[in-house]
Amino acid sequence: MRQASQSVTRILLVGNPNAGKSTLFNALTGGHAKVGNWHGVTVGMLEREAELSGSTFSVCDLPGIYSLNGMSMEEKSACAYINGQRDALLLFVAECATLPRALSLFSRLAGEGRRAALVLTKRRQFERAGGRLDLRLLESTLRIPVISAEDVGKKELKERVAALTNASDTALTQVGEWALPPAAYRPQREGLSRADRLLTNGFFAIPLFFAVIALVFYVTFAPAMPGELLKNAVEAFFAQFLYGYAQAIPSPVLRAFVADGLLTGIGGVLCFLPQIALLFLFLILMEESGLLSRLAVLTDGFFAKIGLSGRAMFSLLMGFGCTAAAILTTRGLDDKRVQRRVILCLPYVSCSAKLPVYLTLAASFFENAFFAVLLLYVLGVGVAFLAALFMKGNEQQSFVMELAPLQLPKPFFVAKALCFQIKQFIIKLATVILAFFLASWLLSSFDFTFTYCAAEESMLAVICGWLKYLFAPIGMNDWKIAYAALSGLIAKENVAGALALFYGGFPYSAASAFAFAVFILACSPCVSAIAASARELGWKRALCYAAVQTVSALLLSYAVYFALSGVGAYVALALALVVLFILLGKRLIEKLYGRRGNHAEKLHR
Amino acid sequence: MDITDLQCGERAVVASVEAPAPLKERLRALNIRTGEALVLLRVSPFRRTYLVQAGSTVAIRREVAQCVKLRKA
Repeated sequence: MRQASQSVTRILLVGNPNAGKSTLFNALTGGHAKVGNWHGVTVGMLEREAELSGSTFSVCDLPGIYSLNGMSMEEKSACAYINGQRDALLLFVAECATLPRALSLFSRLAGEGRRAALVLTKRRQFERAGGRLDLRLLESTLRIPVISAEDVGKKELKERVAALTNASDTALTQVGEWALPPAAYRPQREGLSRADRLLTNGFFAIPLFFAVIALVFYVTFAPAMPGELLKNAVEAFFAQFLYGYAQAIPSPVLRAFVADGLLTGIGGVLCFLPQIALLFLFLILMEESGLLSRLAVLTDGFFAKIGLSGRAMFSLLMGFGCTAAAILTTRGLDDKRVQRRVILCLPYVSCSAKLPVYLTLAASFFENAFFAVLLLYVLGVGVAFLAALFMKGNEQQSFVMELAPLQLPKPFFVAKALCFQIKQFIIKLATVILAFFLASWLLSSFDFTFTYCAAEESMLAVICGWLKYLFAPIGMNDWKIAYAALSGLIAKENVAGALALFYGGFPYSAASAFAFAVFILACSPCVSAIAASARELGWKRALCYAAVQTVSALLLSYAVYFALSGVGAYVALALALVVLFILLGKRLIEKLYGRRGNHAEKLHR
Repeated sequence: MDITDLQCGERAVVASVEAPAPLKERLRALNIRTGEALVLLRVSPFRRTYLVQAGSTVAIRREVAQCVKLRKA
């Protein structure tokens, strides 16, 4: 057994879901672990070095656990990891409101000879709801150090945690059920607060949610609203200010590259940043406030009907931000079958990267971008639900989920999360999209003898010429459109970038533009999302989903075009093809994977 | 009597939980276990999901709520 005086180098953050482990992790390490006010945000283990009072420690953020013989994979692996790390300091993280329950879990994890301390979170919220807590009495009862994270500053918190690593009082001597003396702890008031009574009332909260979404879309996309105004400002900066400077470049090839290639293409994507940021702001506020958790409870009844659960709401709403990130959150769904369905639906929920494409195309089929984008988003969600319904099994599901506390989001946290998303977007733009763009420009500006030429004689035209037949049925017998569509596989923003590179304004009819938008909406997600889904489901299934989605999207876009151009017979034919393809696809998928017998109860972690 | 028989605001004590082991364990971890009291807070539209207070606030689908047998507090 190790000596208590010996110091430790590894700190494990252990606790129930939504206790605040990742927030503590970020505070200690300066990391950017994803945090959110709902249960099951962290799905994998995170480890990072932290400088605490001059020494380096390795801090480990574990997914939340409810019990030792937990049902979810994450719970099992977290427990095994804790048991394996005998020398680490266990930092038990507990929300004040659920301390009794957390202690019962901790007393099972705390073995003799281990070292542990307790960090309490959300004390102010707890006391506002009528709870009381005596830290000193608690400390003397449990005989381990207790820190209330909210009562100490970030610097002091780091010092206190560093001090714990070589303090002798962290050594556990007695092993038994930890019980709270009534004098040390008084639980908070029972029942729902007035705000919560309204927000858990389905007849009030669901219409409110739709109204809020409509408002967010209006503010972001409608003409003369903040989103649109900011977008125009960025666009003007690129188109007038920088473009003017670029005209002064003497070499014609370099000038064409900077002005018509770089500024138009990259600027064409970057100008959507304000609108993407507004959308992310909405998502972050939904998450942080706890509204998402209430929405998940209220919509569970509906989701049950299409074979999902209220818990899927978290992943689907995250899907409006980034499909790849949303796919990772599906690990919180304990039932593998439900997880598969959610991953299949997620690409139809338009991610923020599709937004630039929609807005580039929207001008061709609707005067007001607000209606166009709303229509496409609603259509996407509709297709997602149809896909879920289609894949629905007849298994009996159970749904048990804790309600996250309702809170006003802290401006600092919201700003930090938003800056992180903006940074991610700019990094992506400066790396993947820029590289793709350079390649596209080079290939479409030079022929095989490396002479500067028009796009139609370029290398790209020769390489991709055969692609023109792909979108010929929707009135665009043009390889450039097909190339733009395929470039979305790398990153969806590329589609908008490529369209800006090749055309000043979208040159085809409204019906073609809309059908193309529908293709982008329904086709396979980008490679990072495919990789994320491969991590969860295996490469075979992930690639199979992507292929089925792309082919069905193509057929769907044909059907939409024919419907819009009023060719009734073709519509019937195309629809029949889509249905046939989907039916065959499902049969094929079932044949490949039919024997799954995962009967684990689906409960959210 | 089970959770679905309660009126909103009514309190009862859990008599037994008749569910498969993993589900029972999860409910136990959330303080829904034999001998513990709980209060029904709210029922979602179409009586699909039940919001129960048992230490913390927990949402339970109807099928699970029917597994939690209760007696009068």
